[in-house]
Amino acid sequence: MKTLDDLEHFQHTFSTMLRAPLATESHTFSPAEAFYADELCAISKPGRAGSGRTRLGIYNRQYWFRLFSTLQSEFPLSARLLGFWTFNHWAQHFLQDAPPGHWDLGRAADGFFEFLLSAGKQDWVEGEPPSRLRVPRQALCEAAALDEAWRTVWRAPQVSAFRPTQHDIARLSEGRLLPRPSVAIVQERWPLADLRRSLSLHPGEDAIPLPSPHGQTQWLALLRTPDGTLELALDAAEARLLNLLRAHQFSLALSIFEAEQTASSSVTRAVSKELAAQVQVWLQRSVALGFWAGVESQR
Amino acid sequence: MIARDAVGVGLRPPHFQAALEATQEVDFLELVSENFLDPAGAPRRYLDSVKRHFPIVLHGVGLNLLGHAPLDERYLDALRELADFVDAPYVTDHLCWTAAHGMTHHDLLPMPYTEGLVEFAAERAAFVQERLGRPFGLENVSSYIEFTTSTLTESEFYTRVVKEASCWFMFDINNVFVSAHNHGYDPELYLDAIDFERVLQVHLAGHELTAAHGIIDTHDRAVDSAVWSLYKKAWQKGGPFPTLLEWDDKLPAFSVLTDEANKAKLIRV
Repeated sequence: MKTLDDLEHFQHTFSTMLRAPLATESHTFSPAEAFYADELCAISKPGRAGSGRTRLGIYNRQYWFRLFSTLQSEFPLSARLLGFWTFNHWAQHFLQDAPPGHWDLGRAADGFFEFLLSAGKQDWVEGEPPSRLRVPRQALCEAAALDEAWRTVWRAPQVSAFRPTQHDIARLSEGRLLPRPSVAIVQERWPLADLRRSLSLHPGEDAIPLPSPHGQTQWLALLRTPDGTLELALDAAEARLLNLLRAHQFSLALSIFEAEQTASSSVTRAVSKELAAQVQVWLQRSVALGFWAGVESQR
Repeated sequence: MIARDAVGVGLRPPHFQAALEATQEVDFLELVSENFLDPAGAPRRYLDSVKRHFPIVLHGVGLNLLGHAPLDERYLDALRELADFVDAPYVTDHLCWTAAHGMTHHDLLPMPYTEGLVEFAAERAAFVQERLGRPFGLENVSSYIEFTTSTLTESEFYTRVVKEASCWFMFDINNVFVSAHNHGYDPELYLDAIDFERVLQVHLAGHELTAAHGIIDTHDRAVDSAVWSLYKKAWQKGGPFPTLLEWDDKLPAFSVLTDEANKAKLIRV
């Protein structure tokens, strides 16, 4: 190791060995020793626990299992619905194209949500053929979205909650409420949030059964609070209102919401008044819970 | 300030709350720097509370000291900011490489130890110490492989880099035991090579003896009795020094960790 070029060459060769995908023919994830560069094996000393090639395999296996474990903890519900065998196949496929590049190990899972969504739509599925996957594609997508939402909430920057002044309220109708990054809204057709909370009751690596679906889609808000985290059930209309407010100018969001609500029911003056009152309640609750970071002028 | 005979544990996220409720059980805590470098996320909020209860030191896994690429300036800036935030009396990382060609491998990787690499490593370690504005300690890594192209033993390489960089030893006694077993050398000879006046801190951890691969440095169990024996010899040779227990996987209750760490006080008498 005389020059920086030597150093770079050694690290390139070792890195390639490290990232060689694990073999799965024997129905376990095993070091891919056959694919290691001969020049690296030639300088690797044998020891009391095997040849140089075998000892390199310890690093190869360790590299992948550390990343599998990281993705399993970043996407715990998705991992258990798929079972670790299939999940790890998917993880390996993802990481071959997107090896970690950040010093934070957890960020190795950045982009895995999008991969899970696309993987669920493709015909190829390593580990288990699609026909044998026990989890419907839609449930897997919702599970991945829930895992990703918690990742986002956990990593979100600390931003103070919006406590509107009279001035803020006066300019609200022409502005847009800025969502607080530590709040997410998710939907579920199966009781996935409950299942995710109870994963510790299902130790092991096998796929866990998906519970029966809800009668209708449920909505949840996920929040990071000063004391930890919180999950709140939302009314479907409340969730719709909040999502509109997150996306649009305040007055436009209210108009869309009102139009949608009136289109879906035979509205009388009394119902319309009741809806307006309910919107006030939901808005006040969202402010009290710290859903917003501020108001952005749209002018 | 960390007393020379202090005993601490590595704080992992599942133990944040327990650590806050157990302020008397250890003398200091060590954090994995990379878990807290982002000043915006939730971990920093916990840290704000923890630092009011315990002295904190920082231990990194991502410096990439022996990497061929230039040291990451953004990483060093963030590390300095974090060290200032927790008022860390010192910062440590590993004498190894962890990244190459834009990819971070999240492992502590081995190298052939050569004369040419001593100067390279020492120059970078000295730069890091200067940049952090506080003592910087280098840890000897556990390893599963040696290379025929090495011209120095690990202990020769380690001691020369620390000396030429005028930095410090973050001396991991479990790692010495693991590597000595895997490569067939005497761990006590390694102790002889260390200048204990320049030991910032020592590490202890659990490991797993496997039939197929020798000892794997798992950090998932209590410290092996043979490592405690080696620790006692190190203490007799060069104590006192701050002692830190690492436990990263299959985490037990925080009190189990602190009890295990505090065994050090009984063993070294």
